[in-house]
Amino acid sequence: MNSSLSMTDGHLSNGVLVQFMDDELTPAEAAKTERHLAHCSMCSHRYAELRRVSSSLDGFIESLQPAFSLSERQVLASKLESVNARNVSRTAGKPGPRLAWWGLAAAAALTVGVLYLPSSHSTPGAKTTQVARESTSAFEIDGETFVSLPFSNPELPVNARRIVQMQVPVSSLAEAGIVLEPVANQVAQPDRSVLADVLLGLDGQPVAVHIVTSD
Amino acid sequence: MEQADTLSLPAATWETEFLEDTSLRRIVLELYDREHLGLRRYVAFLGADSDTAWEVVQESYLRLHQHLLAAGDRTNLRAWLYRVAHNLLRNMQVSARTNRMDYLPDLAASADIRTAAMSAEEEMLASERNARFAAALDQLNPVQRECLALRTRGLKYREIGDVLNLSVSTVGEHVQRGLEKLKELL
Repeated sequence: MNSSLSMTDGHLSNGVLVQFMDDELTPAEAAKTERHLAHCSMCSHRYAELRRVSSSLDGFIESLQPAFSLSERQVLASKLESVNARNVSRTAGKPGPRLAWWGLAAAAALTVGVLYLPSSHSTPGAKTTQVARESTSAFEIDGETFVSLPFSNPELPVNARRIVQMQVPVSSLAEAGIVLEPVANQVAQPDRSVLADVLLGLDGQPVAVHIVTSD
Repeated sequence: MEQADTLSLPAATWETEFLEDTSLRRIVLELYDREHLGLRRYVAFLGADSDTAWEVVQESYLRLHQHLLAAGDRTNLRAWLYRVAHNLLRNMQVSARTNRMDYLPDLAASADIRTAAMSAEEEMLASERNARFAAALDQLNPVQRECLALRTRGLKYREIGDVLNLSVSTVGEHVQRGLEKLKELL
């Protein structure tokens, strides 16, 4: 809007008055409008009318329903809590049903507060399990080798990271194309789980995994 | 279990990137507390019954959470919420084939007048007033109604334009014509 306010026969248009009421004029325009209203009874009368209509509209809309409901808020809160377990597929990437377990586990791990960064030196006595890879790629963080999960969202930056240590079922690793070669016999059993550092992406979904045996 | 002894990223990054989960939920709930009634009124104004309104509003906040998780733009989350709610409701109305321009299905009836503090006479006057208002609003075109309703929620013209895909000056015209029409009719 240019600085010359639209006037008709020396009076302010309704458009200007409405914008003045809604604080949509530039400071200069608003000042000019104010000055005009101060001495023009015709415009100030129209302005008062518009204000009256506007405030009764506000009153009408305010009278439409709803009351605050604590239970509804709780429903929302608990849905938000479980969001990490849901697929974040809306944002980007391929959802894939296999994400479900990882997401759940990651959310659970976060909830109980075992969020931490792995120390760059392994716990004494813990042996790093050998990982045979198929089509996955590996990279290093703080000297630890992480294996990318094939169904992670590749668009997320890896450096924005958060690592959660959790028990991961061997079967889930196998699904992700990570086959464990037994260091200790029990590790290879499919119903077993192993301790792993799981790298979570910005979307809260696992991006890569680093296996730590817990024996 | 060994505690983290090294933090290779600066603290600020830790805060924003690592601890986002809980703080994002908090942001969502704060915005819920601040705006959900207004959002519900707006959705009700567009013709949603109260179940639908709750559904739309809840989904809007869940999407807000997703939006924040995906590091979406945070400059105006309030307008963002209205836009999402608006589109959600419109999509629902389209898929339910109820999109026959019958907004305000029975606004006078759904206007829940606070009876507690009112005498019977006041109540009657209020419901008459609301009925008159609903009838007048019915004479406005849908975009005028939407602009006015969003304006009542305190959105600036630019934000209303974002919600409804209109230019600022078009929003201004709709607001002006809508108010003028109401003034004539009431």
